[in-house]
Amino acid sequence: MIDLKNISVRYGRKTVVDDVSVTANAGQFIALVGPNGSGKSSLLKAVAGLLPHDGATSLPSSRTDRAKQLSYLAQNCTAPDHRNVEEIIALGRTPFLGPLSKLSEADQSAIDSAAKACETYQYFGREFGTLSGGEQMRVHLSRALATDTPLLLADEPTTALDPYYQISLMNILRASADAGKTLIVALHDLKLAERFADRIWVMQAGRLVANEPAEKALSEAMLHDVFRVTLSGEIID
Amino acid sequence: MSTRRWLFLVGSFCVAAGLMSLFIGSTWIAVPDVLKGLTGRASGPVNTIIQDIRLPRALLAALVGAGLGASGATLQGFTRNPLAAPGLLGFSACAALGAVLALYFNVPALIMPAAIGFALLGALAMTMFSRRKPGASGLVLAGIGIGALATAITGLIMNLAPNPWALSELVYWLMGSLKNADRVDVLIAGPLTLAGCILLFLSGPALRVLGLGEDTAQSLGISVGRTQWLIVLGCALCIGSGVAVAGAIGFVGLFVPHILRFLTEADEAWLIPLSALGGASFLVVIDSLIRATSGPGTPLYLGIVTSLIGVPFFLWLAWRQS
Repeated sequence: MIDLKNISVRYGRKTVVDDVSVTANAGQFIALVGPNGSGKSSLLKAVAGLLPHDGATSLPSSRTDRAKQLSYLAQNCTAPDHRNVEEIIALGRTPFLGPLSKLSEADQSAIDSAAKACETYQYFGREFGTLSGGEQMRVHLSRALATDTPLLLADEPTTALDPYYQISLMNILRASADAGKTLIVALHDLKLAERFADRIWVMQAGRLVANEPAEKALSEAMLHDVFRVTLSGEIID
Repeated sequence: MSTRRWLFLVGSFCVAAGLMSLFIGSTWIAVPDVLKGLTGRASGPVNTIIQDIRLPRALLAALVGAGLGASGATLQGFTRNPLAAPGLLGFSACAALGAVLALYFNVPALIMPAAIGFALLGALAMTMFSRRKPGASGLVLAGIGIGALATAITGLIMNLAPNPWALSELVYWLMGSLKNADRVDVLIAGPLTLAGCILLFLSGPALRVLGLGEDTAQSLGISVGRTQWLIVLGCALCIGSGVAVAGAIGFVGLFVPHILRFLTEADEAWLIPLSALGGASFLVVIDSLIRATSGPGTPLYLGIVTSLIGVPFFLWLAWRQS
């Protein structure tokens, strides 16, 4: 579970996240939706401790303690092309080791579980740069799951993926939530949000304007007011 | 071959190259005498040649090379930029400025503290200028800017040199050489280089994770600011002490990590000690070759030779990247 209280993020004089207070329960899959520039990524970064912000979260304030509570999947994930897949997944564990320490059995077990959940075993031994975009995203998700934290934040993980990999990734996220992990996932695809999430948080101009069960959140009025589109997919001028 | 085996192999090569370099010089000394000279049991002149000239020079070449190699590997890992090196980011230029100032004011005793002090000052300035957002892009921009400023001031000092003799002294010093190496240099540069290398080695685990991007690394508990401090301090100690005793030696920090990255499967963390040993080996070998091939009247300068080897490699790297 995570509590956000009065979270605000400012870039200079511009407020990009405005007084957001909300709670995500354990095992909930939250889809964070909103138009471009509505503050989704900034909110996730603030929760992850990557942006200075006003307000508070229920997460530990210490950097290292917080890292053991949350995993963050960035919008533009990257990794050195020459590194092997298993090395990249292991990076979900190695930051908590000393310079000369080796992975423990518990670390290896977490890595194996994550690779199994994301079916990235098949890429072991391959260099990261030889994988397709969808395969690379699954490796990054494996790395995030290997950290084995109760909270996962993902910033538009399905962007640039084809439908197969989009659904495959969402299935993995859904399974993680069903296993008890709390997920807050920024998404642009409203159909994926409605299909896979438990609740949908809707942001508009930095404010959280809706926090509803997935099946109720995306009403005609919401699409009209926030996204300026109709249910039939027409643009509203 | 595993990284640890590579470490052992390169380390052994470094020791062997160092021992071999004890045999190179204008005076031939037989193997038993060299070994006796190491422990001070040879004749007086042999003891002096081995202990006061050749051994300090070999140790100093190893120390300077180790500092350059470790700094280059760390900077390339931190900036995720294959062209990053102590020379590009201004560490060498700042240290050289300090030493040139000491030479200009004719206070040779201040060359070493000035070089180290200016390298630390440059590191502090880089950190200050990139304080708002520590990380690769901030450090590269600040480093290049500060390096350019230090180079410009060095040029100004040379421009204002009071006489041709003073100018030639500055120019020769900037070419880099170990010909004046002595025990005191080793005693000063040794602990500083070692301390610098330890700081750089401590940044290794963070460098592994920084390959995933700064946001991801921070979310995994890595402090980019703390890592940058470790790196700039470590580089300042390694490069400052190296420039203080040997002048400006370019390109070693650029190509040694690349060669070892190409040959081995070492990750960003293990590449630091590996590049330290590789840099040490390279400089010991090159300095030995210079001593073996230079005539008494036309000494080749170490910095010139490393640049002649390094520039083609640099251009090849730029071509390959493009």
